[in-house]
Amino acid sequence: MTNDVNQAISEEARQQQIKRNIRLTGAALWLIVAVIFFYMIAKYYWIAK
Amino acid sequence: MSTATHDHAHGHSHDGDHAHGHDDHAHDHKPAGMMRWFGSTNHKDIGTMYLWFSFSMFMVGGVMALIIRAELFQPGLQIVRPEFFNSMTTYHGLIMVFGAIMPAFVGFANWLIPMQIGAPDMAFPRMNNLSFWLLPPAALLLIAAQFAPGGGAGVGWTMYAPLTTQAGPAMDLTIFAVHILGMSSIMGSINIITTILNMRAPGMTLMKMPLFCWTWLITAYLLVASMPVLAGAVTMTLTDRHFGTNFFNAAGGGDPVLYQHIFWFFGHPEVYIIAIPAFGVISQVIPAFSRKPLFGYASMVYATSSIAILSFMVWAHHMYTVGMPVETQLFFMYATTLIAIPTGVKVFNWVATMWKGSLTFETPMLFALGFLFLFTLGGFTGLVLSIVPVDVQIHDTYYVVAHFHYVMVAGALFSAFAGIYFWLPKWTGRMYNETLGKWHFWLSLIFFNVTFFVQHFLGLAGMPRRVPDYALQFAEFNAISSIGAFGFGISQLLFLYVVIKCITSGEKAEQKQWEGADSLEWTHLPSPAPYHSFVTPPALK
Repeated sequence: MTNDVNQAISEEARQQQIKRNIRLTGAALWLIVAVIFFYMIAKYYWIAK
Repeated sequence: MSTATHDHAHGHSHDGDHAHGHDDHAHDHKPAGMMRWFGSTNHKDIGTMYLWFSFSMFMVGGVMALIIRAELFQPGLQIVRPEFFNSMTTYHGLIMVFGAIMPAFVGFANWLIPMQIGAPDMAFPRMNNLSFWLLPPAALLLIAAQFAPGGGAGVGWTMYAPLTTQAGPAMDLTIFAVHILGMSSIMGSINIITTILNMRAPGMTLMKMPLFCWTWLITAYLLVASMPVLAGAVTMTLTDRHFGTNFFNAAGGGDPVLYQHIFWFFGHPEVYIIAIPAFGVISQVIPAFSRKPLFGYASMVYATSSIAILSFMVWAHHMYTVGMPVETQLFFMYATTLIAIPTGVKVFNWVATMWKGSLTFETPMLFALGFLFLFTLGGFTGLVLSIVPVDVQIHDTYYVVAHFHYVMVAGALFSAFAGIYFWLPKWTGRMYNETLGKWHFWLSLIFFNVTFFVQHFLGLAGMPRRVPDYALQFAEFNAISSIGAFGFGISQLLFLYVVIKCITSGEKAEQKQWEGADSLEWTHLPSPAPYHSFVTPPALK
């Protein structure tokens, strides 16, 4: 019984960890996209203004 | 994200690998009506929509190609005005690259990645829905651009300034469409990376993943790094057109060649964004029909990664003739020839996989072999083009057109056909007609070569690309090429018939339809794959 409960808790923790990792990976990738896009524009803006 | 905890919601627990399929079947609820498609968050439904959308765009882009080839059947202007011809070359390229080939492989990714890594779905199912549903409006914009005042923008798919800064309103529709398509690709790639990195079944280490997943992981990184660059380039074009900036306007202190550098910094990785998932499909098909494991799995992963890294260092080989220092030309020439090494590793590994295998030649294997021969030929002509003094002679000729169609059609498209025939039994639960499939292969192979092989000669003889009229000495090869193009186009209707016949009345497929297939979708899931698969992760050794 205790073992089952422990397993359930650890499985729950594992799922929470996966969820956190998914959010973090997604956020990091969006950040990379935004940095590249705005860096591109900013880098060449001095020519354009 | 909700799918990460999906297992709990169902509350199943079972240990046997093969139990999943049956259990999943019992809970195989599908939403009814149109909302199943509009509101879908299911990776299989979204994969199916991607594939059908891709095929529709393949037809639209194909019709544009046939308009081009009809005009070029004879010298002189017969069928269309030159402006319309330019518009056709532009939108044929944009639609085929962004509307047909890329979505086809994203369709494969959606269908296969969760099943191959033992995940219940993609990491961001709602974003997955959005990334698909951004595509139809973008496609409509590209088609609507034809009806804008002044007609479609005849600027070429590369959208070079200053043509684009001076083109009519169709250019704005095109820029908006490219923005949307880019956004869709970025969302798709973020989803794929996040899924592969976080949702693999316990025991499915990165180096145990099927090679298709590896190739998509690498491709998705390429997309994340290169798509914002394209978005930046077209945004700068937009601000030059409407908001008074002079990024690419020489009269205002800008530089049109800057556009070419930025575009090709995206554009060359784009070639591999298309080719690398194709490599992944071939790396699944050849071992299955050789009944041997893939030769040199680790070297395939490293070679693919090397190709991806090198693809960011070779962009200026597309623009040797704009005027650059000879040292720069040499750098880009050597860097480009360097790509032949990891590509050679891959070709060698595919051949070595077949070596002493128990080979059979069903339709997927035929398309894979067609890919192997013709993609390698396209690679060789790429090497020829990478040599600066040669390229200066044949830049912007039909040699280049022949080269990239060997890579894009015989490379990416043949690989997509190989993949569709290979996984149709798993997707539909039914077998396609093998005889008709083989007919489709042989007709495609023959007509493809009739269309494009002669274009090498046209290019070497000096026929420029993107022209509706040409000198008389090019007439015979152009007539042959046009006949081939119509043959190739009609052959694809046979493909549509084979797929529809398979879905409606094909013979029932087995769980493991192909004896040599060994990834999870074949070993752990029934055919057709259940609507919800791997709600609990499979037990892997």
